[in-house]
Amino acid sequence: MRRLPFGKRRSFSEVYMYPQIEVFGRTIGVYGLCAMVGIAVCVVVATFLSHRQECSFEAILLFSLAIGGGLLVGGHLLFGLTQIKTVAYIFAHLNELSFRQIVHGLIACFGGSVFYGGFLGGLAAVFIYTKYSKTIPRSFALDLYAVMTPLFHVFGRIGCFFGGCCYGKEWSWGFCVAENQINPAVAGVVRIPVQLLESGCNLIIFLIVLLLFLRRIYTGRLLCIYLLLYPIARFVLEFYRGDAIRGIWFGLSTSQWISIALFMCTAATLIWTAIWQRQKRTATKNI
Amino acid sequence: MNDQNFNTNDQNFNAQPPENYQQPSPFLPPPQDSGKGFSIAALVLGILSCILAWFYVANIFGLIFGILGVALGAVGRSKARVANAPMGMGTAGLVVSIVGLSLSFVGFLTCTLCVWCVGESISSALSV
Repeated sequence: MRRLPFGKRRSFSEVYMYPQIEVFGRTIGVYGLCAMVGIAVCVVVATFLSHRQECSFEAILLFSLAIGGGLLVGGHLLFGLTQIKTVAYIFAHLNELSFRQIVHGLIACFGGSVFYGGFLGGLAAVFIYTKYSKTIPRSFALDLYAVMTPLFHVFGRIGCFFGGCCYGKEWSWGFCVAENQINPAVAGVVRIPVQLLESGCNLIIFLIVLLLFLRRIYTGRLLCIYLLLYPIARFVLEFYRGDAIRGIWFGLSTSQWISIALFMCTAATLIWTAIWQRQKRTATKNI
Repeated sequence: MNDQNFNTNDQNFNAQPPENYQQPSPFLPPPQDSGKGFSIAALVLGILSCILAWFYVANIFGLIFGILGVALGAVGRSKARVANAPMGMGTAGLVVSIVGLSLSFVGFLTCTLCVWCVGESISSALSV
């Protein structure tokens, strides 16, 4: 075990990154494991919650599968968008680059995943699924998605923390990461555990949305509640992230810009819906 | 003995139908699909997914087979339920596909861990 160059700073504990663990001699990624556990928990919770609509387990499974597909595609596409300069470079120099370089470059550009892309991809999948399958009503599906998303994110961020791919800024307190195999340069410095903080925020948001779901408050609009709460948490937490690879535009990260857009759109939708409902009520009274 | 049987059958053949007998309607609903084909396909794809999950590059195909297996298994099971047919094959296909999908998913994400390693490979793959 290697001693850490702590310097003057003190950490709560020394954390050794475990991006991969050995199970029966087989290397397994902790991020994938956490994501898998998150998906399994989401499916179980969604199955219990769907008794209200008398949806079968198969319907929930297919619904979760559709969301999973949307999540994968959306997350990778948005990551590719943040690497747009490299993608443009590859397509501009197709004749000069070798086939191996093109393939490796494209895999590198679309290999990562961004949460907001996954979220939007999952949302698109919900709309497509409910259009072609009538097993789950759309408003109920959106409510279910609002409950499942923060729950999955709780496990996803724990996976990120163990993975050591994204990390917090240098701070006066926090965890001192060591043995980070993915990025050894960030090891040995006390950093704020921003992924764990985000995981905690997601847990709180999940509990709020679940409570509203169980008490049948804001039925059909729970996604709006989620989209009002999470972007605020994400916007603030982004300032404490130490990895700048996700793209910085005009001083704010891609996720912060998306947070602003989602919050504004949701607020505008809620205000517009309230005004429209009031006008409808007034018109009904006049009749 | 055979002749007797033959005669008996002949008699039955020549027997007149009862008076209230009605010709079966040609527009009867076809027998309901019990989804057995879907269930077998799910089982096969699930087993393939479980096998391919073990290999690093092939687990991408394991992931695809697992997704297809779960979808087909769910459809087969729901069809069997509607047709009041046994759901054992569908359940087996679904369970095996879920296991294969999980293993392939974890295996797939073991390679493409997260943003950083991808960022590192960008600089190594291209000198942009």
